[in-house]
Amino acid sequence: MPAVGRPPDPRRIDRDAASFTAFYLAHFDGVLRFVTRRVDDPHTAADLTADVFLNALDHAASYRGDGAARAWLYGIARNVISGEYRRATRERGAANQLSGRQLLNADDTAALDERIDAERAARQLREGLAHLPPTERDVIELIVVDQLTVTEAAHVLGIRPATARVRLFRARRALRGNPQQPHPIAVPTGGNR
Amino acid sequence: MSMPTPVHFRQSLLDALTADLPAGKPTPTPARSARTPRRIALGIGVAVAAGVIAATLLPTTDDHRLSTSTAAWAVSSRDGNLVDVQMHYIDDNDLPGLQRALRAAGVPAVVRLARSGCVSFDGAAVSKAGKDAFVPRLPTKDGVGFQIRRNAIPRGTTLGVMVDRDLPGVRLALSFGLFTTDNPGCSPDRPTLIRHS
Repeated sequence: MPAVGRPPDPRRIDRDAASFTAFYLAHFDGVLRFVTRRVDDPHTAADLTADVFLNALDHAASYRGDGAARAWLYGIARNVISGEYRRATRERGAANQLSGRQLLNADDTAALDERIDAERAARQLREGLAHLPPTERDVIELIVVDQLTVTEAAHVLGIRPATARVRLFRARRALRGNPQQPHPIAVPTGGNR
Repeated sequence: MSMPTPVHFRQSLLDALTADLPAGKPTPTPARSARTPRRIALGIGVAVAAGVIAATLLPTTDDHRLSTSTAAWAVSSRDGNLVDVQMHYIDDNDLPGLQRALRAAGVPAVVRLARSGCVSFDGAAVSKAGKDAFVPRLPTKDGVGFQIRRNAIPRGTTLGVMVDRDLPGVRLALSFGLFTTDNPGCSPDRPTLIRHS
């Protein structure tokens, strides 16, 4: 269950443990879900989850307060998974790196395996989008796979909501015109969420 | 659909990430009226079935760790700074012992049970430096807990711990505050609650 009450402000999370703890608890499950929709190995999922929160701490100052914290964090998660932060992490030095897989015990690994299994359909859904142009695929993936709103997806990608709506429209049109689509994809009909 | 949570990983990662955090930096906050309590709103609850759990957490496997515990709570201190507190359930009879154990661990503490019209503390403002004094822990099936960092408690202040057993669906909820008196007043307003199940 997500945290209730005032959402933790990401700009404070690198300043004190209590703020970070509240932020972490509010978003841990969402980040884990985001990750397990993209990778099918529990150790990799643990490493990526650790990297997402480590990068959130490192980039707390970059949050401008102009969008949902979830969208900001998913933007970081997306960059972590795409490897964009990998070099920066290496450059931080071994002392600041955190190996998520080393924190797993047997119960954790079993829980991650179960989550990964449950997210198989979402991973297949992503594969079904692979033929789309990257800019259109990015938008529809966040909306269909991750259930973000158009505005949140735009924030994750650093584009205007209007641009996201145009890309969503094009992606829907392309998917409907592809009878060879291997996996049925439920494309949202409304673009104004 | 409910997904299984890797509970140990969640706590271990949190511990690793918060261990590397720098000490709290003062940040600007809006001015508050003198009547407004500067409660540090860290409530934490457990949505599990009520029941008596006669188990003691925080086993003393470390020679440098000092521990005091009953079936209701456990207090464990280490490194001369960190004090871990775990609560399984609390009633009136448990409060004096828990308060004594905290004070024996070097924490100037007042522990109270929430009652009608008195569900959180009210009192004088304290330095923002004190906000690092306590960190909530993830609740487990055995109860709720938090960690106190003695070095972050400003000299001359008292840590108030309010235990609330009356929230619907929550066995125990905790709220905290730092006060310039060892007898802080009451407030009928609940602080923001961070709730987990």
